[in-house]
Amino acid sequence: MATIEDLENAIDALLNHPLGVGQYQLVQRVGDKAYEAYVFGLCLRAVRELGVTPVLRGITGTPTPFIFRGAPGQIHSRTRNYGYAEFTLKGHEFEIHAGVEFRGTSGMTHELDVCIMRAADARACRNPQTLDDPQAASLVGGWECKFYAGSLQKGLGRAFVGLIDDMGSNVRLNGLCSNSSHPQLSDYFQPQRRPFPHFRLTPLEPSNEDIFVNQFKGELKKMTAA
Amino acid sequence: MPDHQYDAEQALETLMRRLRAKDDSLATHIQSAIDVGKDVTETEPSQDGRKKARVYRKAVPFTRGEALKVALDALQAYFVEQPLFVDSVATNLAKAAVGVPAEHQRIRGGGISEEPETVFVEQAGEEKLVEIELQSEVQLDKSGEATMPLKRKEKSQIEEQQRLITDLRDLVDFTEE
Repeated sequence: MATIEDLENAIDALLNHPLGVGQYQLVQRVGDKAYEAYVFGLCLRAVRELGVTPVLRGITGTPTPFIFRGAPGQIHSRTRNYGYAEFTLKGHEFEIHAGVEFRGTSGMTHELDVCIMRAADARACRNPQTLDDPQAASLVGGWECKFYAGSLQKGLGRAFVGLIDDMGSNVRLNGLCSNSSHPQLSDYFQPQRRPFPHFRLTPLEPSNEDIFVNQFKGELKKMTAA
Repeated sequence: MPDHQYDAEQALETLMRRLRAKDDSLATHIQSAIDVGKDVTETEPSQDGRKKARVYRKAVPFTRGEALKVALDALQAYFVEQPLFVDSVATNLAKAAVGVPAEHQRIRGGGISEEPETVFVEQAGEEKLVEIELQSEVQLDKSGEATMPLKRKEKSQIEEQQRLITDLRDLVDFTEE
């Protein structure tokens, strides 16, 4: 028979653990960024599973340490040695970025939490003579990444649908990634051309990680097959 | 599954009280997750001889038992999932290589060109230093740390915390009482 004292002891053991309240305070400092970094890492895994070793780069030099942006930024920003990854698949060069802003077809800029884009376009945007935000046409795939300790907010889905709509028709992969879920948002994303709901995308659900990685691999294979 | 000397309401009150005593901000976050409530489908029998019953959506609060599950899911997200995200990104970055710009290109143009630059590739398979920016480039106040290292937690600690969550879930499971 479990007593209220058993319950109190179990709660205290959880909260006083080294990964208890102290861990929560750490999470508060990095917000969604650790989750974005996690999704960025899944993209690297997908590249590796395509038989290619991704190469980590830094905007100003060797990426030691590898720095993830804390807020949306421009691809050519040299404020810090922001990290990105590059890889070549069957002669096609790509880059993977986190927290970079793109110029939509309307001219409005949008941040993509994690994205894959054509490397030549990325290099052109970093060229000191032609510094610019990447155009929508250079985007291959983009993901919104939301860490939630609760139910996802519906507004996030609506906003991301609008963002993807403004990125034109070249985008081959897109999705809303979250460790959480929302039943109505899953329905909202059902129509074709809507973002894929990568809900419960977390190391606790390896099958959902596999879906993300396999989508990435499948689309890159198709794109580079010709 | 244990029998209990307390009900779901007492369990939720105990959990929230202990949370508030430890960290008020965490307690507020958990309470917010609970207060989102849920959607249910209500069915109203036809009143005027129509054959079809009226079905409509209604937003209602969670039951106490559901609220306990929401609270524990949220704690799991902070205490277990976040360390696992860091572990996953550290693993995937470790398996990547690091591109070191060739010296002559760095001198000539800062390594920026529309043509792919020559890089030396090294360190594939080695653990990498990973940091998250705390002070964004457009932030006016630059006080405090500029970046924060993302460090792996010990796997045994994560597993232990996962086990403590599972134990607590058992203690607040009233499904067969």
